[in-house]
Amino acid sequence: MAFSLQHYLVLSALLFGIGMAGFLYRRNVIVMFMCIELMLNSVNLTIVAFAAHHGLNVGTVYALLVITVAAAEAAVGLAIIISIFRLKGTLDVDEYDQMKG
Amino acid sequence: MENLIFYILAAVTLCGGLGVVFMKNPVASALSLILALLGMACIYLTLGAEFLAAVQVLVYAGAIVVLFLFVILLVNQEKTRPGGFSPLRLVVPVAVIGVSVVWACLLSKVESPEAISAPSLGSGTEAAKLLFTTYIFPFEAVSIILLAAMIGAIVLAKKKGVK
Repeated sequence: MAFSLQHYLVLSALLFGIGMAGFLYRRNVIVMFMCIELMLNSVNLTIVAFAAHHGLNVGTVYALLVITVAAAEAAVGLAIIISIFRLKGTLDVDEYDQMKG
Repeated sequence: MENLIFYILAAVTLCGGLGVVFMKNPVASALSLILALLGMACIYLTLGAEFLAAVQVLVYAGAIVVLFLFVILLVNQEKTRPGGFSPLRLVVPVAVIGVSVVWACLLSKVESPEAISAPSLGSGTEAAKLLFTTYIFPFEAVSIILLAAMIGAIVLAKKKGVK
């Protein structure tokens, strides 16, 4: 197995770009959330690639912590989405224009 | 040969990512997300991080995407507002993708010091040793975050007035 660090960084950059573009382009709040997960994943890949490049074990630990926080974030975010959907009856973020509970 | 494997995996992952963005149906987006995450897990394997690959499949593809699917089906609505498309809204995403492609090209021009060779950061043993000794405090903090997220999700998603 011999891939250069560049391969992984390029893939990670492209994936982050896709995720960010989707976040800016889509108006469905659930799909925007998925794009956030994509961006988190690409950052994870960068962490692991650099750790492997330097031969460190810490990369796995950091990536695990990031995955855990992403899971927590998904749970809370989806709960917020359900609750706001009950309030507004739509998933379109353009419709979410007030902060009253 | 190994390069070919990497390129195939990268193509699968990128296709999954593009599918998330461009699929009309949110369910199709979620399935594309599974594709991207599985491709990413295989790429972790090429980096020698087997434990992380397993966690990626279990937690992301197994738990998070299923949660997404539950929510999509729960709040299922027939049609999102069809109108409202303007070319102006496309400018920023295209610019972002363009910049990241250019950056990726520049990045691939830089000479790599050496190839990543036979890394062994994968085995869960080493990660567990670090996690339970040096990184015990972040580990505990993350477990408290999970507890808080669980309680918070229940409180937030509960119907008002339901005991």
